[in-house]
Amino acid sequence: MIRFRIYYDNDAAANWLNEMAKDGWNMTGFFAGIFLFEKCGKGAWQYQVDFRTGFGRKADDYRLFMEDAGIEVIQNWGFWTFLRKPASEKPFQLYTDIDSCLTHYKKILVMFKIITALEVLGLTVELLAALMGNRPAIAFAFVLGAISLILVNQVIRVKRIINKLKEQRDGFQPGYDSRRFSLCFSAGMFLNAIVLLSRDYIARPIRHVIQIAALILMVFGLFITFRNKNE
Amino acid sequence: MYEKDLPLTEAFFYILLTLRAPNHGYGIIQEIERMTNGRVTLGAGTLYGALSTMQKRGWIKLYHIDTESRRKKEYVITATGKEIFESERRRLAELLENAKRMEE
Repeated sequence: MIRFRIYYDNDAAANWLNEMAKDGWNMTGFFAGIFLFEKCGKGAWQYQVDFRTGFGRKADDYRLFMEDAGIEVIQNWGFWTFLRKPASEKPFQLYTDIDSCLTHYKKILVMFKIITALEVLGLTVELLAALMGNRPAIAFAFVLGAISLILVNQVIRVKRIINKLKEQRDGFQPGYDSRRFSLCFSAGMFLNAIVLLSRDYIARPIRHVIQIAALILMVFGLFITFRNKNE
Repeated sequence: MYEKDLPLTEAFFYILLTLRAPNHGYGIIQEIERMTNGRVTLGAGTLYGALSTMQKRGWIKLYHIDTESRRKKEYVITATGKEIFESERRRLAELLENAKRMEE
């Protein structure tokens, strides 16, 4: 079976893979959002998604180390490594103390910050092009804007986790509160991009409908963003 | 002189202790489990990170890298590692000594 899903959140991806495994669908491969599943034995495997450790020789090293500990490295992809081990053994936990959890999430935070910065840079370039009257650039600006918001959300999510861990470790921590952007807003921006790019292909009334839907989504998204503080 | 590295986390403490004799990844996890009667089970990610950190700091080193035949990497404690462990032990002894005051 093949499923398409885009995850930015490695913990959410691992939770989903574990849910699937409970139903007997075991993840065996991944490529660009496409998950491959194999049907066999309900609840046979437990999954985890780790932040990737290096490339080439370093990655081989990691694989051997994990295999030695009875953990199978299913795949390295981008920044992530998909792992599993038989469910008959102890609960599968990669990080068992606060310090190593902190190190793990700090690495993830740096990664999200860097790619967010790159997205924002791309967005700036597209906006400049748009100002000079390049129509597709406006659409790409919407797409990059939508992705940037999703990434900013991830930065906020990971920062919250780090803050919780520090609180556990030190007993106190000044609260970190920052709201996450509603995904509706990003969805609205995507729709806007579609409208702009499809001028020559989609009949005008349909485009108007999509345009209105995009506006509603964005307004709704803004509303939710400001209502849900710290959810 | 090692004050800034102390206290050691439980993971670091037990890894250093286990590496008084050469050992490899999973062997370390098992020995720590045995020593603590199953109380401390290191996650593979925690151990991997700890080993590379301690290797960088020179507290442990690769025991032998017979790259072709032996694929499992074995580690062993260094002189620096032993000094760190001793400083931590003195710190813990002081804690225990002071803890006795509770009964006064």
